[in-house]
Amino acid sequence: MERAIERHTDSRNQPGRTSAKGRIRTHESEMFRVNDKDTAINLPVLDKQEENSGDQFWRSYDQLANSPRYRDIVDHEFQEGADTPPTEVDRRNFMKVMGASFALAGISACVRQPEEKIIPYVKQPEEVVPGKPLFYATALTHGGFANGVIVESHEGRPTRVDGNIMHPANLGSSDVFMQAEILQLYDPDRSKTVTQNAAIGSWEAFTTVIGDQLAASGDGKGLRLLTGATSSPTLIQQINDFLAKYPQAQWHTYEPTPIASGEKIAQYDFSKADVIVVLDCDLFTNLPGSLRYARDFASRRNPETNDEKMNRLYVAEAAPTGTGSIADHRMAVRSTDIWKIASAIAKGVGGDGSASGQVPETAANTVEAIIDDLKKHNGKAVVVAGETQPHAVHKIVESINNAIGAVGSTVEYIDSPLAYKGDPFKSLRELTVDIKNEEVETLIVIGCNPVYDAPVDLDFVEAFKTVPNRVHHGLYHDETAYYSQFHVPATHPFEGWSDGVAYDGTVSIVQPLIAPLYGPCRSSHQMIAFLNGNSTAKDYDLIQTYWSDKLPGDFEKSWRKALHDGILKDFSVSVAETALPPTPVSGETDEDEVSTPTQPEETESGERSDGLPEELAGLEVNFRADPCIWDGRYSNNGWLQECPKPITKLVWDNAVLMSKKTADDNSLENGDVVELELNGRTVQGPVWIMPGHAERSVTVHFGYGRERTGRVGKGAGFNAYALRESGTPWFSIGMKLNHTRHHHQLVSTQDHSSLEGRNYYRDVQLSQFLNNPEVIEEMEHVHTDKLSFYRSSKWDYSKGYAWAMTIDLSACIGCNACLIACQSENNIPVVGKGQVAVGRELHWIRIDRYFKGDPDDPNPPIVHQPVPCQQCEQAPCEVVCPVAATVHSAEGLNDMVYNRCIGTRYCSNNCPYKVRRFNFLQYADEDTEQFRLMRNPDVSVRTRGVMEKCTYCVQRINSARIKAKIENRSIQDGEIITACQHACPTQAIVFGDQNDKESRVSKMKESKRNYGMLNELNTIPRTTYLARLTNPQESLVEVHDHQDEHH
Amino acid sequence: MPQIFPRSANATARASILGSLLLIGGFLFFLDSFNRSNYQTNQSLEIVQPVMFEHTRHVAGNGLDCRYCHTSVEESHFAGIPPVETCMTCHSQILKGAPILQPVRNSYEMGAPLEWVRVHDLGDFVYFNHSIHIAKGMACVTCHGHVDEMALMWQENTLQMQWCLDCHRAPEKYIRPREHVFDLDWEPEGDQIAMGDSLVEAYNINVGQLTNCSICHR
Repeated sequence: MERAIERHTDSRNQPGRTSAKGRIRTHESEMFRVNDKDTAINLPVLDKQEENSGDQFWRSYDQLANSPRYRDIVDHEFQEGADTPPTEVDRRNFMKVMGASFALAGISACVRQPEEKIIPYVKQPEEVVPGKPLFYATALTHGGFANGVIVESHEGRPTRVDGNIMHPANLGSSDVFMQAEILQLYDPDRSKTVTQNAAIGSWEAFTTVIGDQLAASGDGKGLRLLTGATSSPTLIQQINDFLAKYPQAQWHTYEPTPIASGEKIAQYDFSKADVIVVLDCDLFTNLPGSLRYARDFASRRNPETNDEKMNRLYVAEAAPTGTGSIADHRMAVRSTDIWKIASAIAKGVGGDGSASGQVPETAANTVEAIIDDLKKHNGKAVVVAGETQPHAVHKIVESINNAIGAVGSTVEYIDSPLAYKGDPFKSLRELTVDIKNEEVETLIVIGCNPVYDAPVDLDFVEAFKTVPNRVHHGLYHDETAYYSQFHVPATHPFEGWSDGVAYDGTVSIVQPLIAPLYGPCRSSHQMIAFLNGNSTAKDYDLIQTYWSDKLPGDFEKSWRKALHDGILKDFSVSVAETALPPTPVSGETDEDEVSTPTQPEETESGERSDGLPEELAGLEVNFRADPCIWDGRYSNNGWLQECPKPITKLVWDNAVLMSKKTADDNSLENGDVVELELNGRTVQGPVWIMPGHAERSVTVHFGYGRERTGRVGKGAGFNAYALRESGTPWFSIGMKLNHTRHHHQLVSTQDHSSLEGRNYYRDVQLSQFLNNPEVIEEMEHVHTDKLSFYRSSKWDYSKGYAWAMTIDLSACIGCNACLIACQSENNIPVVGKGQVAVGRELHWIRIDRYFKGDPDDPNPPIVHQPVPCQQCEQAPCEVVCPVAATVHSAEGLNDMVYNRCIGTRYCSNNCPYKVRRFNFLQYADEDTEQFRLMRNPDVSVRTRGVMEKCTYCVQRINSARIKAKIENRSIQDGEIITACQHACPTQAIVFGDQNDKESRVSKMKESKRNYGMLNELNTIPRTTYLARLTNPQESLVEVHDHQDEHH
Repeated sequence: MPQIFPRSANATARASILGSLLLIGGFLFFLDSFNRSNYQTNQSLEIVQPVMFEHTRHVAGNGLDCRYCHTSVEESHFAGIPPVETCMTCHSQILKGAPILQPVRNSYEMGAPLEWVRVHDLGDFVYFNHSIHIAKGMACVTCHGHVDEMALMWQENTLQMQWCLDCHRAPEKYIRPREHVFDLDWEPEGDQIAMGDSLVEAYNINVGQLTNCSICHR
């Protein structure tokens, strides 16, 4: 005992990492053993000195240095000042005000419940059963490509979005954007009225004024239309009609962060791929079929169901992404060096390796391994290049795919369903030139915001201001609306009819869930219909008319089926057969093609060889769409702003990401504001040190620094578009970093809810696992008899249902879909940046991100671990609650009773997993009408002073139990799907009854990879994890005797 | 030095201690009684509605089944308040011009729904489900009382948690065969408890689970 205390204090005084062995050691002899002599119980002591050692998982450099900032977060679970409201009010005034409230509270207890009304229908729709939700299939588009969704509707109010299981692009899963669309719909800051010269206008005034302009233009001279990327067949047809009516008019498209451009787009089949090489592409978020790709990829990650085999993923990228974190080998290379890797691989496998370049030293071995692997897996491998890479790289990659037999097997090239193909910036550039030449009289901008997000070299803003007639149509009164004479508010996709095409050509009809919340809203179809001469068109008629002669068989029947299923079966647009790549692989190059997709001719100032960028001095800067608020269109979405970004865990901000070495070389620390200087333009932003970022390179994300947005997005971050040039849209070199001596508070949740180095995460290599399937079990570093502080439960869990969950760490890509799904399902409020800074975020499921290994490693492995309430059978939280507000149910749920909670927070203090969340303030906005419509009526809205946490979506369990009981049967496996499970693109989360030996969750729990977090505490968590397996190439495996480490 | 307090001060002190204890006790007793009073619970208070709808006439008089109007009681958590259209199925023929039905006709013609005052108003943190109670043999009359004898509707029971738990702890006291759930005048033949016990088993009711918090709160 004395020894233990000594070590404990010792370690407190010696922060930092020293030891070679990484395991936290507790000593069995000291565990829970009653000492005969003095009957004292020796508690396990965590060896803090060893906890931070090189082989362990770590979250931040602050943690490694045990810095005061880190200790502050960890030592004070409820940080200082966490119980005072964020006001200027001093204590005295506070007591006075509260005194009055206390008195009022006393009186209010004696006041009767307010009278409530029941308002039934006058004529009840046939399909409506009051109190029961209806589900409608529709589609949402991202970058122009459709994903199928099912929307839950309570008496006409859409409340929740989930993926459509029948839709091939997502197979039922969703991403953060789909999940957050429901908040977008109800956003009170949406544009609600037509404006004319910054005053409230009307649709009639708009149609009169612009109608005159249309008439005056005759055959459309000076008439221009600018839209975002779209795949809607009806819209494209309408615009073609418009162009036919006004032959001189022109149509331009602009998408700031396109996810696929080019005549042909690649369509991958990762279910067939044994080896996948990804060059600068966030495979699972930034491609048209990302959700499907994530599912197919993950289906090959479990050796227990795949004949002891796994696929292997190589990733080369600058800033770490979710794809990089799940990779078996990740190369941290500058985007400017990607072509060298592509070229070297091409040379190795017999593709077009004519371009020569020195492969970065750090990647050389991996490239050798890739070549070896690709050769071995002919026809079962694929190489993917990101949209962010120049056309020349895509061509090399195509040649590789041809050489390794991937084309026709793991990749097909199909016609792009997007309206506009080719260089995504060419069209806007032409438009700007025409404006400067005074050729544009009337410019109608539909569904995009170029004043904010146009490449800065075009000087679009100044040009735009000189157009005589400017019209903007969009969801928000944004920057472009501000500079337009007319702004027409757009309908949300849940408010109108439309259609869209998915990555594989599948067509979906978009149907409305609710009438437009604000009267003056018009859909883009109605806008074009007005241009075509019909200002009162209904989008339903437009869509139906378009499809009336195209659907097979009886129209009414096919139409209804299409609406019901969410997809048009047996019908897809322009999917090419297994085709050759769009461009010749070697030999002559079609002149037109060279300049098409991403990289136009006049790129970069330096020399070019084979159209490839040469290395220049200075830093590289990467421009990327933000993983949460994308190109800025979700900047007013509180859920997405507060969603910790997958790798940095930053909230409410963007930052200048750079490696530790780059930061050290420039003596920068987190939060230091730097000035980025590129080609004479500057922008200032705070630094965030990102382990695993490529050297001599920084990454900035778009979407922030908005000037005209709603209350939520206002004032967040800096505008990275201010440096972006149309010739080099994704990365550029020659950037300079200048100090400013300013500091900006960046808030990251990476150190929140720290488990302080205890044994939480387990991962091994596939070969080790196959050699010794017990290896995961052996990582249990404390083997106690099942002793516990807590009396065993009064329930017999071996009978009835026993709800349980498994989370497969081999599959988790850290995409946050579960987090937003949970927020939507469970009415979780947004708290704001300042509140997150003091650890008050309310997310019921958090995704812990760890770096592994040596902190000096410039490219440490990155892993993710989603942590919801573990639903312990012997829950430490329950015994400390003075009012029994958290107690166990017969089915093993750790129930949380909000109406009984008095807010002592003891439970959270006693929770070893740190999964309980406390409402320090009245975060739930009960006054804004739109939010009241949005909430899930099956879940309580918690008020101030109440503890809350994951309940395994008990509302869904109850609803399924009631249904089953009425039908006198038992609940079937798969009948209850939790919100996080439904959303998960990789199906990492499985929920079910562990007493049912045939259930999926039981099968998962039988896996040799299954382990409980902090098992040594004997809390018997119902949520368990499947250890992560990696499948590194033999030649790259370091000699590493894992066995020794654990014995 | 003379004593400051006279001897009688002892008695006064005792009396005031006792008195204040009584006062506090009395106040607590008052609070408790107040909270259980009809004023607080709304129990037995007739509620005035926008239309003077009489359950007596429709149920006892005309013999309408509960489900004619409360259509979703067997499938949803909410029993359902009939749309005006339901009223008009009969009242487009019967009492066509009656002044008492003017609001109903107005509503039907204008499409503006009637706003009924909620009689049974549970806290928003309680998730009550009608369908499961009906399916497991809990009769309408058990909770709602003899609706057929109420001209204006009132709340028969306190709807306090103690009242809920009375049954959730021992459903055999109130359960009845499913086929008699909508029968307002049904009486058990023989011993309720014996019949209740067998029904609880037959209907597969897991009594222990009924007092789990998440059964009603979430």
